[in-house]
Amino acid sequence: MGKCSKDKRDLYYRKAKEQGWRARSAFKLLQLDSEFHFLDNISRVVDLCAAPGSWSQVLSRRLASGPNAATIVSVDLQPIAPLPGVITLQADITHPSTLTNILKLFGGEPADFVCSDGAPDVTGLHDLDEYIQGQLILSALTLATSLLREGGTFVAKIFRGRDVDLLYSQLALLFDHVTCAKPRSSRASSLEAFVVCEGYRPRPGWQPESLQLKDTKVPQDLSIASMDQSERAIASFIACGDLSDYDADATYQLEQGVQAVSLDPVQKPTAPPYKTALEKKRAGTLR
Amino acid sequence: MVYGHEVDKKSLAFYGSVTSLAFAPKNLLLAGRGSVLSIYDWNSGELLKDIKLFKRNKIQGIAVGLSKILLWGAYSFGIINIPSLLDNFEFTELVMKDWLMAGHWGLDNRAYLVTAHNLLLQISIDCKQLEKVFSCGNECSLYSASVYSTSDDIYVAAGTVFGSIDIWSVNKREVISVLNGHEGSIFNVQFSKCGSKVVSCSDDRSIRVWDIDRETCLAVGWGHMARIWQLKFLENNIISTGEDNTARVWELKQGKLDCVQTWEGHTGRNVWSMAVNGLDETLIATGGADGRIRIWDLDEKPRFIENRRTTDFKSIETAIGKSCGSVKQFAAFNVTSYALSTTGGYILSYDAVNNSWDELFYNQSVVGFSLLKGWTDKPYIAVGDRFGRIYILSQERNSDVLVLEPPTDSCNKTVEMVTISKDNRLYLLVQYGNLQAPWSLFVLLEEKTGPVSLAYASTLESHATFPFSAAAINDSGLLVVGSRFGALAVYAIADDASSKKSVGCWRRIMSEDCITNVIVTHEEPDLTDVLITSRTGVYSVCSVVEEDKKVILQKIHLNRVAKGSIEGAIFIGGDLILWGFKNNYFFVWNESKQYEIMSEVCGGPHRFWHFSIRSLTKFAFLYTKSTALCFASPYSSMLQKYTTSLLQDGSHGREIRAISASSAKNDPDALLVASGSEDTCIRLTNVYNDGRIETLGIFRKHVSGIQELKWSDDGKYLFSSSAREEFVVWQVTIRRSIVYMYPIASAPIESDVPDLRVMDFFAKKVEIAEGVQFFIVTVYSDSTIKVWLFDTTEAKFTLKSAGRYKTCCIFKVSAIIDGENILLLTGGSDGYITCWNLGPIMESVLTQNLDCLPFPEQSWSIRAHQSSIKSMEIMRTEKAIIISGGDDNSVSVIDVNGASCAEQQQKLASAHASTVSSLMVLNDHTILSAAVDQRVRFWSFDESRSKLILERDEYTTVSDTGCISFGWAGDRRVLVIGGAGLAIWNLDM
Repeated sequence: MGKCSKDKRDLYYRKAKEQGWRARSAFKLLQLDSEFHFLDNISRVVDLCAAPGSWSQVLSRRLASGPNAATIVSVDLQPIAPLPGVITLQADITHPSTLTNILKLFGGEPADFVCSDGAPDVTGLHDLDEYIQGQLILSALTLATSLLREGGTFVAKIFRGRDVDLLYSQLALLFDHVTCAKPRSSRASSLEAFVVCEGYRPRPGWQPESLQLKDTKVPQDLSIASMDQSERAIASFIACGDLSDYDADATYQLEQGVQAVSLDPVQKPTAPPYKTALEKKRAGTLR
Repeated sequence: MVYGHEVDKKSLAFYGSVTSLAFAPKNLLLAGRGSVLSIYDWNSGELLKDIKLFKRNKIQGIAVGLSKILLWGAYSFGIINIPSLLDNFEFTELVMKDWLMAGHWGLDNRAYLVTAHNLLLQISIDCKQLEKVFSCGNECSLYSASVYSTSDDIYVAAGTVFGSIDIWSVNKREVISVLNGHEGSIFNVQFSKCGSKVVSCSDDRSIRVWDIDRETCLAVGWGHMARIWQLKFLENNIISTGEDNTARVWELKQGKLDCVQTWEGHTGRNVWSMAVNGLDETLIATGGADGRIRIWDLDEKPRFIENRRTTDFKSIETAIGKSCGSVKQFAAFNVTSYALSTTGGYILSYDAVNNSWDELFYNQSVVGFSLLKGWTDKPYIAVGDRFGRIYILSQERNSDVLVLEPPTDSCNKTVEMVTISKDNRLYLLVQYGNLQAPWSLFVLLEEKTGPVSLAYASTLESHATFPFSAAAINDSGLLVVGSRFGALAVYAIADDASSKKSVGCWRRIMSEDCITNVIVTHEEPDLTDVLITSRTGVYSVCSVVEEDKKVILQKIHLNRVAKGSIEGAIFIGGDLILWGFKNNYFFVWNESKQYEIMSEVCGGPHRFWHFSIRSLTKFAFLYTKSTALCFASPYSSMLQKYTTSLLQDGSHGREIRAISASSAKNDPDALLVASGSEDTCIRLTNVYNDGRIETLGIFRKHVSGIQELKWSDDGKYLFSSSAREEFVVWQVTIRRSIVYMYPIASAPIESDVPDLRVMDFFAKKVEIAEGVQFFIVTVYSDSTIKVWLFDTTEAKFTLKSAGRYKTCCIFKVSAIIDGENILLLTGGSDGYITCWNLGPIMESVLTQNLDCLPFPEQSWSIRAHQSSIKSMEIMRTEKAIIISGGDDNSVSVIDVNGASCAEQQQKLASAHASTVSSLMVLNDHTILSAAVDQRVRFWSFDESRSKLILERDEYTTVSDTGCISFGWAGDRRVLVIGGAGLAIWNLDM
């Protein structure tokens, strides 16, 4: 989050700065929890694709202090600025050593809660974007299946596109309850929603490999019929957050005088890959 | 449409992103448009065939081999034999378990595919089986890949999500080279011809060329303003396309990658696909998110311009043998021969074909004075002098000069001249230095032989502050004159020498800026339409109407070009061609078809220049640049390799957010559809029942993405809304087959919050006084509800009432009307449908009371959805029923019992797998729902139980599905679906 005119437009954006959150997405986890209470009484927590760390911040404020302080591990390829009571790991979630490292931090005990707010570089080709997001969820889920205790919870960001029903049916094989939840702080105009998977309990005979697309068996039946048989399911939908909460689609008129104050960002934005291109654009050398 | 895969009779056409392109033998260009393969003859510009290949997936890539074509997209792929391409071939869609990133034909004539997890798949020679799977051991996620075959190995270039490019050998099954330097995901990577280099692009917006063996970056290129999607590595150039809507040509020289050409040929955002013709690599095809396919010629540098000649003023003096001073103004005899005035009082002729110069005229009275005008396609020019005299010169040297004297001695110098030619008549309108003096109108006759003669001279009473700048005359002698300050004056010209008064004068037609051109576009008794252009880049069509001996002006059309100023306009073959300047270049633009015909970097508008155009291939631009004269014209021999540079037209270049079908028609066989998009434009399109579409106009008025669009019941008005509180009323005029739209008014803006969106509105015609009035309700993203009376004659909004629901966003508004009773229904982001009795306000409107009344308390409110209501329709049977769709995937059915109460009868919790973005009442017993899960569902309505029953479930190619509308096109009903693209369905299947 930078220091920009968005302050005037997006209320959650401004509220996040006021309350010291690194990103407005903190409200999404807070609102999800207010509905599902998945952060109550848990002691081992993993936040995947955590940078810049707003979900970890929520976890830190909720769980890191007190006599029953939880162990919180945040993983991302990008560095995450330190947070009280949070162990940050700069690692690839698809790498086997990441699993070992997390379990080591938990003293070999399984996790109660695994979450991921990760999203890919959205291109605008909806099919591809939904696929890549699906891959990210499957990577997080693969790790989660090795980390979660029975009955544990998994929460991840999804895009509700054309094949979201395939994902729901896969998740239903692993969890007692799968819900599609949309916090009020997420705009209705965005495809974004969250799957809240409660009660980790893989069906008997379920193999972790079934999440893999890397099927190297040959020869293979390539007919489209094999695709059509894929199971589809619709997860029940829950809107989260109090109706009296602010609404991400609404426009709020700021109180007099407030508008003039531009708040400093809680944390400097991480350098995007196109930083050099932007600098050249500003300098007028890009044409 | 011919179907390769299955019978899908409902789909007539899809206009969306062109996701893949490839050239094939015999002048064929193949394009992936959704799941349909379109085959064009790029030479003739013809669409030869459309074939639906995949059931659901879009065609993302095409690889043309020696005898076969490999196509892939998402998990699907298939193969076509080239010889049967234009026949009715069999096509089998095959699927892989993982997403396919790249396709390739090996030297062994086998097809290869690369998956999104870096596996190379070898397909059997009969194309039926997956034969082998190769891995390099690193099965990481890819955003791009490409394959290169040598006689003894195959190499894969893998563009990873982590910013590295891994080159691996299939024989060794290991990575042989890792190219590090990019930041962000690698969106494309391509091998060079020899296979020793690759070119790549990533999220960092740079293009990099690499030496594979040495693992080093040879050059970096910057230029794209946003992300880059496609690359091609040619013998001498690199071509790129990207999110900034451009295609670029790069030259690699001495460790530098320079952008040498930028092609802007698409609208909206994203040039997704690109292909290069196989043999000489001079033709490039690009495909955009706007659905357009453009053809570019690499040899034209820049486009079209072959003749470019720069002549120093000194060398002109040498050619003439006199010191005639520097060149000032130009006038054209035709596209290749011109007259030039100089500071020394000389008029020179210039033959641009032979680059020869000649002295045409000299007079002391034009020394340091250089006013010069010609008539379109006539071999004469008019020269004005310091004393108000005009000399009419012929192109022939030493021919007689006709001298036209000013009407009085006190006229002073000639200040401005405007010329009009009509048949054998040459009109010349002259303004003098004495502003009180009348204008002169000279009418000259062109004889079959001999010089031009004066038919008569008359005077026109001038207007104050009316320096004229352009004029046109209709067949019955109505002269329409435009001024430098944006005014129009009209004179009735009878064929005599009497002095005439204007019959009408109107100020500020579009703005106070110069009117640069006036063209008569239509004439009927007592009515003349003129098109006027302005230097501000705006153009308008006005009707000059003679009514009871009075002349009135009606503005019927207003629009703005996508770029720059407008300096001139002409209709060629029905297309409106405009020219003007933007920044430092001059452009010629086809406004009807929305593409650039030519551009020339001349340094901007502050210079003497002249543009002549006779056809789309015959035109010339002459201009001065410091102390030189420059001439630019297209290929004299028209060596153009193809007939059209716009092979396929499309639609919006961004997501379509609103669609509305009109009840009015300009073509009996078509459905007139208005669509609004995030690109801020409103498009008018004719949709035919075979799926064809024809763009009628693109209207740029809103400054933010369109939220909602609706026609009045009779199709005479269109209403549009967007952020920044914009709500616009458009008046629609259908003149023969042309549809004009004029934004007659915008609702008053009261807030300075740019994000304040007019989410939806309700407009109903009311009959209270003469003219047309509308009762309008607008709902806003800050929970405000406003009730307006709008008078179309006075173009005036009167606020009748304003209220507020809560603090949440109101997405939808509708109303149930029974006589004078009106129940307003709002649907908010809190999932509630709320009823407001507007009866008293309506009653006040009908009694012509203009007071602002208090907003009523809500009558009832019912929770229909868990979160935002994204669609809401009213169904009238004996009672009124509300059908609503939500962000919570559900559809709800509510019985309304007037203002007293309402009852939810049905809640289909999982009506769709995603947001129900649109609902449509097809008839009394059928409802359609469309959702972001790319499904359109048909529901029958059981009136006795107020329940919906699912009848049909259909898949649509349009992702981000957002809006639907329907209507009659000829004898069939068509459904139009908007989102990321536009789909046309036949509803009567």
